[in-house]
Order: sequence, then C-alpha cells, then structure tokens
Amino acid sequence: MTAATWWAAGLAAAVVLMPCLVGPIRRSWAAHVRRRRARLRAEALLWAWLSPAQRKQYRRRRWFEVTTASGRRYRILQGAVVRLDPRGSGYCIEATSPVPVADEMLANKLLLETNERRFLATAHRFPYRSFAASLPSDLGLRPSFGRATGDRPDDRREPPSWNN
Amino acid sequence: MTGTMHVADHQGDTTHTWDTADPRTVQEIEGLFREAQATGRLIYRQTSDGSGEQVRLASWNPEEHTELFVAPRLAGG
Repeated sequence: MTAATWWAAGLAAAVVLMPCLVGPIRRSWAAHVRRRRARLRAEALLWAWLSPAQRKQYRRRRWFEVTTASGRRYRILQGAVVRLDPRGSGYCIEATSPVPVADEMLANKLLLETNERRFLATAHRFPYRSFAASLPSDLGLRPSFGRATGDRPDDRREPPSWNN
Repeated sequence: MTGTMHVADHQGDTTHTWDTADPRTVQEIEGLFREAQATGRLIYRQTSDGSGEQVRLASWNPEEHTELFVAPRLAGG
C-alpha cells in the first residue's frame, strides 16, 4: 500500500473511533476539573484557619508547624505528621472519607492543637529512620536519628492532660 | 448575627450558613451538629489567634461562634 492509502485508512479509523473516545475524554476532563476545584476550595479553607506564622511556612514549603499545649512541636506535611521537638516519631493519620489533602492537614492541625492525646491515640506511629530517609531535604530532618522503639523515655511520655 | 459552617467533603467543603434572626437556619445547623457528632466527627470553632477550639452542640453559641469547621473523621494510616 502507498503512503496515501495508509493516511486515508488512518483518517477513516480516526473518524470512526472519535465518537467512542469523546465520552471518556470528556468524563476524565470533568473529573479532573472537579478534583482541582475541590483542592482549591480545601486550600482556601486551610489558609483561612492558619496563623500568620503557619501561612508563611505553608506558602514557602507546603507544610507548617504546630506547637501543642504540652510544648511539643509537630510538622504537618501533605500525608504525614512528624514530631520535631523532641524528635523521634512520624505519624500516619488520614481521613476515613475521601477529602482533599488540605482538609486532612487542617483536621490534623486542629486535633493536635486541641487534643494531642487523642491525636497520639489515633495516629499510627512508625519508625522515624525509614520515614526521614524518604523526606525532602528541605524539611531539615536528619535521618541518622535512632528508631522510636518505646525504650527512650520520651517515646513513652504522654502529654500532661487529657482534655476530651 | 450570621455564621458559616464548613463541612469537609470530597468537594473540599460544603458551606452552610445561618442567621440568628432566622431560627430555621439555626435549627438546620443544629441538625448538622448532631449528624457530625453521631458519626464521630469533630467540630471546631475558629479563634482569633489562628487556631481552633473544639465545640459541641451543647456549648455552641450561634451569636459568638460564627466560623465552624466539621473535620473529617481521622484514623491511623
């Protein structure tokens, strides 16, 4: 077959297949637009609830820090929380329903600020070393720190009050 | 006095507003409170210093607590 014949066959195939592809492409695009709109809404809400210092951090790094009533400092990242001061633990905690990540970050912030004990009881704590190795370098965390084994006094200590 | 409740969901959030001059809207928010509490979701009011405070239906004052957030239920990942 000549090149012209191939072109003609390709064009005919495209004309036949196009109606079949338009539906999925349109649906996929609409889902993308909905997800983007949800993400922007959630980010606007998170922004409205951050303190000025947290806004500054979030604008620059996409994370922010929370100091709890017990004096512990946590960094809230997209998808995880790490304890910075004293160092030693990473926490995995997530929403049970599908929400944008900014909603999850806001929920984590508010839970830590108001009820750290409940946060610790809910979140899954995991060894710090493996998590820190996967973190971006701008977090300023050193992966050489030992694992949170529960043997260190700080691993066992709980915040002083239970305010449910 | 008017206020807004943001319920976190797959759309980012759904906003419900109330006006204390219209008891029907306040009752609607109370219904959302009950629903959220029954499903284990926590509700926070915004404080002036950029943080939040947990609020329950019994302690909610629609005249003062005018910015609310219904957080998604959290679980260990």
